[in-house]
Amino acid sequence: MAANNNIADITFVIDLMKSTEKDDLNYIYRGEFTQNLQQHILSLAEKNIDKEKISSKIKKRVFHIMVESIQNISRHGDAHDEYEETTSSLFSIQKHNKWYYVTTGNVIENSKVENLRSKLEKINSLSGDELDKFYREVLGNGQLSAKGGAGLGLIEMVRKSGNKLSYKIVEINNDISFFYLHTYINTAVQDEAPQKIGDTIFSLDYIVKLHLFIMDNNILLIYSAVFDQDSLLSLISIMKNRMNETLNSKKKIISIMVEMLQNIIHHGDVTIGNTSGCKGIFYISIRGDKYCLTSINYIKRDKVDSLKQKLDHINSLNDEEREDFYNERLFDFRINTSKEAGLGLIEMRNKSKNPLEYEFIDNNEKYCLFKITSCINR
Amino acid sequence: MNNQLIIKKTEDSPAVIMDAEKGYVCISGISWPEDALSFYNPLHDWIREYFNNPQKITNIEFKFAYFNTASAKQIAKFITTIKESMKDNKIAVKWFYEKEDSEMLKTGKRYANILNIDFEFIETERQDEDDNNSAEGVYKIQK
Repeated sequence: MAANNNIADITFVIDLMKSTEKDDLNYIYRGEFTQNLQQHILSLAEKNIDKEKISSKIKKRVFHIMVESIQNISRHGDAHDEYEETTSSLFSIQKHNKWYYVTTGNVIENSKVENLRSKLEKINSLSGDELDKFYREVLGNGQLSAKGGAGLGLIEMVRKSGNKLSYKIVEINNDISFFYLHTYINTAVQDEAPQKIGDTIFSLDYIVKLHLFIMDNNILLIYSAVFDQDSLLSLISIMKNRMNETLNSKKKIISIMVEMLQNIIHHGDVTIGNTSGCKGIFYISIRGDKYCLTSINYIKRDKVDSLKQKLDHINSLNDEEREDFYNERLFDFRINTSKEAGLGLIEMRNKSKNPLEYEFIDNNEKYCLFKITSCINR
Repeated sequence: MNNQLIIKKTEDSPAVIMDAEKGYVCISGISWPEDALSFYNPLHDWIREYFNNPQKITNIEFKFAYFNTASAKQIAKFITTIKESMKDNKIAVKWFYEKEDSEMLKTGKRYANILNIDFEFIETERQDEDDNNSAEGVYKIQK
C-alpha cells in the first residue's frame, strides 16, 4: 500500500498528541509478538504503572490484564503468511486520567468467529457472581484448547477490570477476519474514579481507524507522550529488540532515534506542568527498503525560519561538505550547551544517507507543528 | 583533584574510571545522557589537573557502544583538553569499536585525524550488553 501523506491523515494522528497530557501514554505496536518482545512491551507498561501512586494490589491488577491481553494475541491469533500486510497483530496501551485502556487486534479464521462471538456475549452477559461460577466451571471441565484458551483469559480480563469487554470483528476476506478486543481499567479508588471518556482517542472505534492508517503507512509503532529521557529509554529498549537488522544498521537507526527524541526534549515547545518533557509523537514506518523515523512536536512560530534555513542548508550539502560542516561544529566549543542542535540534524542526515524530509504544519498563532522524517536504507 | 574519579554506568551514561596513580583513563558504554555538558565537565577538569603531575605514560581507553552528538562534542572537548594539557608527556590512546560497527571506527578516526593524535583501533565483540537480545531483568511472563 502506498504511503499516504495527505494532511487529513496527519491531522488524525496529531489528535493523539494534542490529547496527551502529563503522565499520559499512547503506545501502539504492530507486528510480531515473540516472547522476548512481549516482555519488553510489558516492561514499558510496567515502568509506567510503577510510577503511579496507587496500591500495589491495583498495580498488579492492571498489569495482569495487560499480560492476559498480550497473551490473547498469541492464544487466539491465527497466522496467515499470505496476507502479511493485513494480518500483523496489534497491541495498544493508552493511559489518561487514572484510566488504562488496552486494545489488541489479531487475525482469526472465519470458521472460529461464531464460537468466539458467543463466548464473548456469554461472558459479557454474566454478573460478578455468575462470572466466578463460570470461571470455576471452565477451569473444572478442562476444555482447554491446544493454545490454552477456553475463554479463561477473557473471563479473567472482565473479573480483574470489572468492566465488560468491547470487541469488533471485521471481515478481511472469505477466510479470515480481524478481531479487536478492548478493555479498560480504573486505577483510582472506586468512589474517586474520574469519568471515563467516551467517544475519543481512547475508544475502540478510534483504534480501529488508527489501525487502518497504520496499515496504509506500514507503521510499526506509534508512541505519543510527554517526551522525556525515561520515555526515550523505554522506546529504545523495545526497538533494540524489535529489529532483526545487521548491527551496523541497527546502530544507525538507534542513533537517529536518540537524536530525534532528544531534539523534542530539548527544543520542543509546549511543556506540560513543570516537567522537563514536551508533547510529541514518534513513529516508525517501513517504506520499501527503508526504515523511516518520524517525529512531530510543537515549536514557536518565531523559530520556524531559522530551523527551515538550517534544514535546507544541511540538505543542500554534498557528502564532503557535510563532513566538513560537521567537524567544524564538533570542535566549535563556543557553542557549548547541552542543547546543541545543529550537530543532531547533520548526524541524522549523515547516518541515514537520505535528505531530511520536513514540514511545518500550521497550528495556531503562537505555535507550529514541526514534522521531520529521516529514512534509513535497510 | 581526587586521585580517582569513578562513575558507574547507567542506562544512558558511560562508566568512567580515571586513576591518577595508575595513569589510566577509561570511558565505556553508552553515552546519551540528558545533559552531556554536566556529565563531562568533571572529566575535563580532572584530566586538566592530572597533567600537572602525570605518570610517565598515560593509558587512555574509549570503549563506546553508542553516543549522541551532544556527547560527541564533549568527547571532542575531552580529547582536545588532553592534547592541550599533556605537554611533552606520553599517552597511549586505544579506541575500541564493535565488530561491524564501521561508524564507530570512522568516528574514532575523525578524532585522531583532526587532533593529530595516534589512536590504536581495536575490534571487539560486544560493548552493549543489551544488544544480545536478552530480556534479563525484565519481567518474565508467567505461564
